[in-house]
Amino acid sequence: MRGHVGMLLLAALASGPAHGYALSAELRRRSGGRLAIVEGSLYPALHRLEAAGLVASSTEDIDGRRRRRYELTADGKAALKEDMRSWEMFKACVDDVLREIP
Amino acid sequence: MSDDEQISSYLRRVRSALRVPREQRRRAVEEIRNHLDDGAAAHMRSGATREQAIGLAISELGRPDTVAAEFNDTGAHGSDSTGVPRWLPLLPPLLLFVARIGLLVWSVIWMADGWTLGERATQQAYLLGAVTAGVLSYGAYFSIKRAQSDPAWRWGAWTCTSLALWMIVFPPF
Repeated sequence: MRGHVGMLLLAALASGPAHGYALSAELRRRSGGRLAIVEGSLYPALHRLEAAGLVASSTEDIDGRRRRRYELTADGKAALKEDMRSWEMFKACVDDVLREIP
Repeated sequence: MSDDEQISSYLRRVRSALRVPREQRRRAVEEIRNHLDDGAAAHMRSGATREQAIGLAISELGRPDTVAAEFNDTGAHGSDSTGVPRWLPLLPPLLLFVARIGLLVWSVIWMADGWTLGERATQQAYLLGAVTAGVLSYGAYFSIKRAQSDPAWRWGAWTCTSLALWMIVFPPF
């Protein structure tokens, strides 16, 4: 799961810019509550993605609070496509192996 | 402990365990604070009391030291937690070492055809200065490397720097 946090966050951001909490809520919603990212690792993962140029962040004031909003960059969109392709390949390989279990 | 104190205490513990540059630390704490507020609000909408909601939001984030460790692992930091470049303490002892080695070489070249007693004493002083500066440089380097895992070692690096600066301003030999 830990190795896929980046891809999951990129996927959640593909719907549009969002704050950190909204991203974790979106992941929970899309997975029907089964996929609960450890929230403490959410922001470090976002910072890593930002350092890699895959997401960009900006701040805005909402109700007197400074909030940081994340969005996908062009590189992030390309990385997400590549991650999805790798994931499909991995899934197909595992399926092939499991199919032959007697 | 009041609700706000519960959050403040959590943030304080995260902040004290963070080993990232000052700006990144400020941003991390701000994001966690907002996340806790959002989480607590969501739990209150689901019927929890404020105290319960804050407790749940905190437990979802995880232990403060674990959260801080995740931030600390986000990559190599070029600065310490105060924003000062990590290798800066090495500069004065290293400059002193280079200068002292330069003086030593110069003294060997220019005094090669026979030394007076005074010249020999001068050369010995240059040698002692070079060795001392070398030890201080290594001490600063070693402390900086160790400070990556234990920030308390930063004091070791700055102590070597202070001694080097003292030697530059008031050369003992």
